[in-house]
Amino acid sequence: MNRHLLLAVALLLIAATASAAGIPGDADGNGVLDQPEYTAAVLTYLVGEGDLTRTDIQDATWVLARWDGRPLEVTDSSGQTLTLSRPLRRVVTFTGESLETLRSLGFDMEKVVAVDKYSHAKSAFFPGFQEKANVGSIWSPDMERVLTLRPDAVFLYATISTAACDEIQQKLEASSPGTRVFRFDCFKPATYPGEIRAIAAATGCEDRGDEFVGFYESVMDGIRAGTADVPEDGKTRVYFEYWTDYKTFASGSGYNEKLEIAGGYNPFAGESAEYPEVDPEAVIVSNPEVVVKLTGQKLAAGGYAGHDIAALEATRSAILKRPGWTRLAAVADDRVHVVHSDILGGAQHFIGTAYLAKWFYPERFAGLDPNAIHQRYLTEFQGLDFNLASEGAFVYP
Amino acid sequence: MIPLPANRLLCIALLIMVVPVAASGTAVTRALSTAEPGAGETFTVSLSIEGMALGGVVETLPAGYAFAGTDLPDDRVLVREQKIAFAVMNDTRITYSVRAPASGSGDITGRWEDFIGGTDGAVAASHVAVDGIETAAASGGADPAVREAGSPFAVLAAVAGILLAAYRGGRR
Amino acid sequence: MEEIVALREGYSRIRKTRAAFIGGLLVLLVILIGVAVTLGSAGFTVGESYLAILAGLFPGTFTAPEMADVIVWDYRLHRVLFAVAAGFGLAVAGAVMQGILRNPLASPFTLGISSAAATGASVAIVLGAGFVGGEYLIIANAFLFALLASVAIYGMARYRGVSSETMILAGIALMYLFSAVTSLLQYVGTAEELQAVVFWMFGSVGKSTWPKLGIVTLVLACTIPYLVYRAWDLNALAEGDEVAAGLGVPVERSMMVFMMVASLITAVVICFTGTIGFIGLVAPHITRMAIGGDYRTLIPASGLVGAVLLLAADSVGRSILAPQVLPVGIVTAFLGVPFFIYLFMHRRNA
Repeated sequence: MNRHLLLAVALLLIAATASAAGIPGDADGNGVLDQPEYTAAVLTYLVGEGDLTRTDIQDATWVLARWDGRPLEVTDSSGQTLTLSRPLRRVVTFTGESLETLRSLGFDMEKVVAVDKYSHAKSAFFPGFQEKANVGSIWSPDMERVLTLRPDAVFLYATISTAACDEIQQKLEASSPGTRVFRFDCFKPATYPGEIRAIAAATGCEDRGDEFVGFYESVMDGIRAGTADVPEDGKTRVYFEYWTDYKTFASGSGYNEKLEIAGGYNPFAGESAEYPEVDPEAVIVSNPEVVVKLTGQKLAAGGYAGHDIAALEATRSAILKRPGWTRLAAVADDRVHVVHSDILGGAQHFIGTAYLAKWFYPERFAGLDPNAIHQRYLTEFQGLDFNLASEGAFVYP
Repeated sequence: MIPLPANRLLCIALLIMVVPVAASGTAVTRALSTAEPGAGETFTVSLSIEGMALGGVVETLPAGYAFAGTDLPDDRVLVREQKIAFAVMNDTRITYSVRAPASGSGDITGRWEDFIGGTDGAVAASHVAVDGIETAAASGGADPAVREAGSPFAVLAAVAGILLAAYRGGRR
Repeated sequence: MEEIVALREGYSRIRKTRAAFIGGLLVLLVILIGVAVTLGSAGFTVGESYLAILAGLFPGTFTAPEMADVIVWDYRLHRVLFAVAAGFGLAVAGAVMQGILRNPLASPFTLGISSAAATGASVAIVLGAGFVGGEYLIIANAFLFALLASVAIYGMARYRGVSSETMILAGIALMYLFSAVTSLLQYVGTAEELQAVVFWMFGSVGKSTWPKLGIVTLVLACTIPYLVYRAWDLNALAEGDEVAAGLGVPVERSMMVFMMVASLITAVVICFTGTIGFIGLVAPHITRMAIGGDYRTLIPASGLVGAVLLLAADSVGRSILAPQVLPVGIVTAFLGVPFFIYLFMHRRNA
């Protein structure tokens, strides 16, 4: 008797998940919603019969109109192909970059039901998101909360924190088979345009996606084109310092990649550690033409939260006072800059790269206006009421 | 004896009063070929649909009135007693026929839903009466949209009622 | 005659105290499990959590609210039971270590096992090298490196003669060696890998799964009965090598066997959880204060105390910063503070 009950329950569960997983209205279950099936489902709903709800019919309409009645296949940055039978209605983002990209695409932010704790805390950049649920971070996720939110989609990184992201993905696939796990980085210059397009397709924001990709590529490709013909030995020598004194980047790190896109030459790129700590003498010997100092997070100055140009200025002055530095070409030519990691890491890296390009090659990029690019990004794509002239502190000078 | 055309003009005037304020974007309006069909007569109803690519309309006929066919293909219409459901797919006009009973009156009401925009609304009621004769059941089922039109309409309705009564009285 | 009666009465009093202590611990443990299963950020009521447990056991008769059975069975229940098993294991290993090293401040980690496990995990995380590929890479490395440490102790002790002093010295040497290697790996690794190593070293029961719980329970089920069976030898060893030898206990062999068994238990626990400190140190102490140092009862009783402590620590870690989960290793590290203050205050009387 118990075994039969178990079997019955199991079958019911399988049936329930199967019907929940397919396209709503796909009566013959062949994975395609054709017009007769659609109209039959609509009519049954209109007269108040059947099991489909208004949401189901709206989703079926979307599938028919946008996806030609077939499930949509999306390939994410980890190479896996996900199948969507319905449009996304409940999204959880574990990464601030994917959240920002969704906002750039004009995705309805009401459909984002939960964000990670770091985005939750950014009240200046994500105003109003504090009312959404907080699912912790990738390294300590609040899985119970994610599950009770019953999301359609969860966004994780593809190439970093892979162990932690893989674990979250495994747990979700085991406990919540209807949830699609999307792995997108959204901060790497090499993959970002493709990712924007993939996310745009998945969320039905293709037009805005094309517009945003156009904007992004006009900046990045413009920089690449502008530095393409600089000879190897003619590249601007740059000393790019991380948050800690005398820590710089080597070729494994993303910051170095952006430095090289901007046409700079990092004499320490060949070091073995990702963030090598270098001998101060080696810096002086390399005699950089431009010095860039990264601020943000650890140095807690600038960014979106305040208008603290003075703090960036203080950082710069402290660097200039280092012994022996007055003889560096960068100091002599007054080419020492401070930049905030908010616009150099993450989804806004194209803005920071534009600043770098302008600092490295002022004549070539005389027409490039990174501040205008930044303002356009904030106003037009992020929809933020943020005026760079009076708020935020990102670069100095 | 008040000639029929005048009565019809009055009804049309009343109908115009009742045309609802269009919802932003989508508007569904109904027009009857006649609001006073003869007994057993078949009249046509035209739905004019604006701004709805994929959606649905449900028409509810008053008691006694029967659905008598439509120009839409069969798989896009479903009839359940007095309800007729239409699946709208890029249509701007849907026409269907209704057969009037021997006697009876009432309101044809409707609801529309836009599945792409996620909005829905009501189609303003259309009053219909066989031979213009109001039956008791009909007056009880006043459509709320009609009530919402405001007090001037109520006055006009009262005037119409008096005129109709006079017409009937005149006929005898 | 009166002396014998008094002795008998005294002994039966001790036995009653022990029984009461163990019984009380079992009740406390059951209550704690009952409470811990209801903790979590999903917002279920106490009734819903228990309903979910019942629904998992008897799916036909009980239905749980949506997602409740998944959350309780896939996230909470095995975590709670794992904390019980891990606490039990670490406490027993600590008791045994304190016995063979004759040092009340000994813990399962005195012989460098935790440092070795941390090195194993770092090697897996930073270098990607290990004995088993895939998701068990870190676990297998941690386990095997921990065993490596105990084998090294064995080798070194055999070379210099087995005694508690030689073992402790060898253990300290190993601890420094493995810590240095871990530090080097942390320096060489990327920021991501460094973070992963540090998180591993915090010690957490968050990565438990039903199969892992099964493995730990199996190992405990095999080793604990053996330890209790041989507990009399531990009692003898605690008196001193000569006394033990005089009582017919093969001193060297026993010490080695006990050391290996305790290391095995420790290794199998910390390869899944990372380094959880102080349970193996504090639990046997508390137990000894309550029921004395007879290892036949000390081993199971300190196991229960360890289980209660670790489960309580994990429950605190899950609630104190809710919805964030504080790793249990951090909570138990704070446990050490009142414990050592207590020892400090009461040491003068010794």
